[in-house]
Amino acid sequence: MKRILITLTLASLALTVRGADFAAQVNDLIPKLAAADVGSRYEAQMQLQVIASASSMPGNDADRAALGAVLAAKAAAASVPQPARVWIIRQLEYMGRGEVVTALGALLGDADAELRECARRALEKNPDPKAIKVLRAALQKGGDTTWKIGLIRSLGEKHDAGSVAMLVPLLNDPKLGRPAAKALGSIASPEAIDALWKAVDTQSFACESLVDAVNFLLSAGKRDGAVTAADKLYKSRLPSPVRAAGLALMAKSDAEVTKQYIEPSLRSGDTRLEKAAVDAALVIYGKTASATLAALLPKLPDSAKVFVLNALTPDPSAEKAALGCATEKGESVRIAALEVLAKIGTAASVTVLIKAAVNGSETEKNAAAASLGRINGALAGEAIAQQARQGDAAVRAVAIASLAGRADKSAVPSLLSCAAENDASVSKAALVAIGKIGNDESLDSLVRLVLDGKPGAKDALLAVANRSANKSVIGQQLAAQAQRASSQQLAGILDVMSLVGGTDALAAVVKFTADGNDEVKDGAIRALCQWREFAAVKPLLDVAATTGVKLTHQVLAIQGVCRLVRNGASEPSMARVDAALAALKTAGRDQEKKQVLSALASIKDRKAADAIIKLLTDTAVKTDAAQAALLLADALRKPDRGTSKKLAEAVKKANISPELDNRAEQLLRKK
Amino acid sequence: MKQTSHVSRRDFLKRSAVLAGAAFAFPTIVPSSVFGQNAPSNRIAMGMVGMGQMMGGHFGHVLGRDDCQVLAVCDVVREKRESAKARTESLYAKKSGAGSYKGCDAYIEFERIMERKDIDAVVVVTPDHWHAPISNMAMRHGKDVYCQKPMTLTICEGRIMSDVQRQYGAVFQVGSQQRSERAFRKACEIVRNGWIGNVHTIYAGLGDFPPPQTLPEQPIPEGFDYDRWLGPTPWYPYNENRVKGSYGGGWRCFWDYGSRKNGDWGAHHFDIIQWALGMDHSGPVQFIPKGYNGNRYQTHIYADGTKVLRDHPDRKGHMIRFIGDKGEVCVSRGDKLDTIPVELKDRPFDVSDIKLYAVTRGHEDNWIECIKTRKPTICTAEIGHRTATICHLSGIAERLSRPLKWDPDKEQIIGDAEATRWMDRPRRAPYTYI
Repeated sequence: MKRILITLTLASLALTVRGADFAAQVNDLIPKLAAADVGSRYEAQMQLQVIASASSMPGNDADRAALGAVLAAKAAAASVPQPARVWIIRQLEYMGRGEVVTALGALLGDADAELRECARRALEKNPDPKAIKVLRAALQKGGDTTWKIGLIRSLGEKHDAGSVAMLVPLLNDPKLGRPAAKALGSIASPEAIDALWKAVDTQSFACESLVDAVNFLLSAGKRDGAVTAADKLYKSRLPSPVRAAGLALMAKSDAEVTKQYIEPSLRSGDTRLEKAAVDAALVIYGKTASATLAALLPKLPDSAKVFVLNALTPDPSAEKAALGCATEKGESVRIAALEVLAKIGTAASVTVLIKAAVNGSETEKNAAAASLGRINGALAGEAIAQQARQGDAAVRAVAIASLAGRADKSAVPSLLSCAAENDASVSKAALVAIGKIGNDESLDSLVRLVLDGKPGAKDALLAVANRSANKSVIGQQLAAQAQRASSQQLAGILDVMSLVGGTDALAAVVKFTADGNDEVKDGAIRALCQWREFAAVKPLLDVAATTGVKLTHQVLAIQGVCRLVRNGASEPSMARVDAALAALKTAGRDQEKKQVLSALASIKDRKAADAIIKLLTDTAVKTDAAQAALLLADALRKPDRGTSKKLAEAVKKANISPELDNRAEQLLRKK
Repeated sequence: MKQTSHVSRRDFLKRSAVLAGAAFAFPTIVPSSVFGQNAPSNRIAMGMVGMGQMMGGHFGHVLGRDDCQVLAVCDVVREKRESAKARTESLYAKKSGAGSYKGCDAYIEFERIMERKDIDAVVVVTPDHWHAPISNMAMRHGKDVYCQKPMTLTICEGRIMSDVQRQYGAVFQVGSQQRSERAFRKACEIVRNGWIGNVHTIYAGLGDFPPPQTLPEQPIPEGFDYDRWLGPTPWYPYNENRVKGSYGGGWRCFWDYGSRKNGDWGAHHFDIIQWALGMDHSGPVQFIPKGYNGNRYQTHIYADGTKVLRDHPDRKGHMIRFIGDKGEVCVSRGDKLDTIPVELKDRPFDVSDIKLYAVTRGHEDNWIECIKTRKPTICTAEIGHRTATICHLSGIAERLSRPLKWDPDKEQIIGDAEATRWMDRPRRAPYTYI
């Protein structure tokens, strides 16, 4: 006993010390919280908030209580300026307990409306039972409408059954009726619920409070009360969203009784109730919900059928029922059935889906095609592959498209066979599918199909090659195939080689640029001009410099070099500059020279700058050289201020036009 | 303080008939015979609440659809609501070719919209502190709702909203529209299918607002119902900087009206992270504020140890970076998606791969389609609530300067009674409804 007394005394002493510390801190902050310079109050507010937060940490209850007592005293003191009191009470909202109730309770009668409101809010959050009493007393005392609305809310939040007698008469008040109903719903005592039921015919808001009441009863574990109220809500003549809520709550409260309501709700013709019934069935039947709902399908109106179909899960009876609906009169039902088969269908559904995808309306076709792309029940994939292999061409085309939608890579060999077939629709569908899901292993066959001139094969080859991570290997394969190909066949794969790239492919294409067959030669030069790798610069320059080269080929070659120079940011600047200058040498026409200048302007390097400056005196291209110089000068302004300045000054010195001089001057002035 | 007289159902039908007869040819996705004669499968009558900057796109979108008709607009600023009403009526007059059209009412009080039985759906684009009260009232009145993000101001509001949506059967869309963008969906699918292995770390870039301020009182502008703008939040003297809707500040800076950047951009990026991790009905278990014990980045942690770090700079120029033990996904708006290995982003889906909800058109269109079909939207109230919970808990931890433990199943803060009080906020009278 003595030990306990000593402990208590020490604890009390510690609290006093802490209280004294807190009081000093708070006293220091009070003038700052009410400073005339409103903007400066923020820092003090944050300081007090930090103190309050730290004192309310778990395990710090002594500190919290000590600070709470200090703050409560300050909140109550008329000598403390109002802005400081407001902020102090705001802290008490989140950390005050029993030690602050008396002070806050007194503030409920304060003349200052803001202080009163702050105190009410803080008491609403206060877990001490005494807080309820002072709030209740304040409501008894009365006040203006706004004040009473606040107090009613607080008592509702406290689930205070003791205030029901005060609240019930307010239900018919034009301004207090809704808040009173809300509070009664939160309290959810039998008396509160009775009062709400009595009000429901005259006050429409009462029904939502009844829903709130059931929710509260369920959360409080008061199942019996919840069942009674939810049942009554469902059976009432209230608006259907409220009845739907009743049904949802019934499902949470009493599964057995709710079972009786599922079918009538589904057949009610009211879409809210129908949907609520499906949701309720999912809750109460769990894993057997799908089969239960599927059994009801034949009896239901179309809208309910749609809801039920959307909710079905894999189950043999569900699939059978959905297949039945897939041929019904109502299109929305048919579409819902086709959609759900993606989720629940097996091989048994494939024929129906393909038929809808071939013969249905546009919406059905889309729904069926989408489902064929996703259906994953037993043997569904095999059934689709089977349909792809033989039979009517339209059916096969749909099945083939589905295999692509499913990204079924095991189907690629079979698709390659289909692609080689004579039927154009089957072959085309297969090549589109291969383009989507084909891999490196399909390349050899695809190249052969391209060489054979199959329509669509080149697009498929390009798509697969573009996706491949082993482009150089593909390039090797293409180069090898190219050596064996006829002139006619070559035309089909040269441009694919330009996309794929690689040393072998480049060597092969370069070889063909000197081919005796004009068509092959033209195709090879054009492929070279589209090459993506910088290594193509040299052969392109060779083409451009060839004596007697066709103008078209020379122009294309220079354009190809310029493109590679512009896109070759990862190449050494010198190599790019050299390439551009070599192209310039070969360029016979001003148009090409201008393109070279544009490419030079993309190289952020002083060598490019020097090359451009030299061209400022070339009468034919000096204006474009100046444009290029200014472009490069702007790009170099930050990384190489000196070269940037040199370029701009050179343009000014060249004195080509007042507009260019002006732009150069502006650049020089820019920081 | 209704601005225009209430329109009777009969008046409304007359107006509708004029419009329908003149220019509105409404596509019927679900035949009216399926969902009933008065079902919204033909045309959806809309009420628009909060006609500020953010509403711009939504308003234009709804006005542009022939299967929607705006019957009412609502704002606490007279100029905004009157201008919205004029724009609506002018557009419908033009569409109907009738010379003039008077069929859009302008209200200060959103409650007037809720009372109208001829309005099917409501678009809520107010500051955060009004989202829940307005949306809940709409759903309880049988209306469908599109609500801007973050869905709520408090965690408790979200639980109520989600329950109300489910129980009353409303079609509800949260405005976390990144879910309807291809790149974000693809990023989530890559993560969900395990293509980058087990994700252990995620960086999300939210940025920061300037700190809140204590502001001197200014005169309330003519035609502005400031008390109603404040609504359930604590009273403060009017100042323009408190109420303005600037993306870089304004009300978004203040804790009273939201969770600052956690609520602003967190509602987008944390939402995508939830989706990617398959946590739409759950959430993290721990929240650690920046600065706590030297923690450099605000962090939340999922039960499997996956960490989400806010504003870590190494995001490779992206908004979100997912780091797995076999690769990475980085994603941003503007359809920007990068992966390691690079070919992941173009990898076709196998039939057994997880494919997430893909909207066929835009985020708002998804809501409208779902109003017609009564199917769930891509971002339901439960999803919005779970995302907003992360935003709010991050904010609470920041304000309290201490970590929080969270039980996402019970939706409770563990072992911190005072922090638990922040799960809801008391409401200023008379705006106490939720």
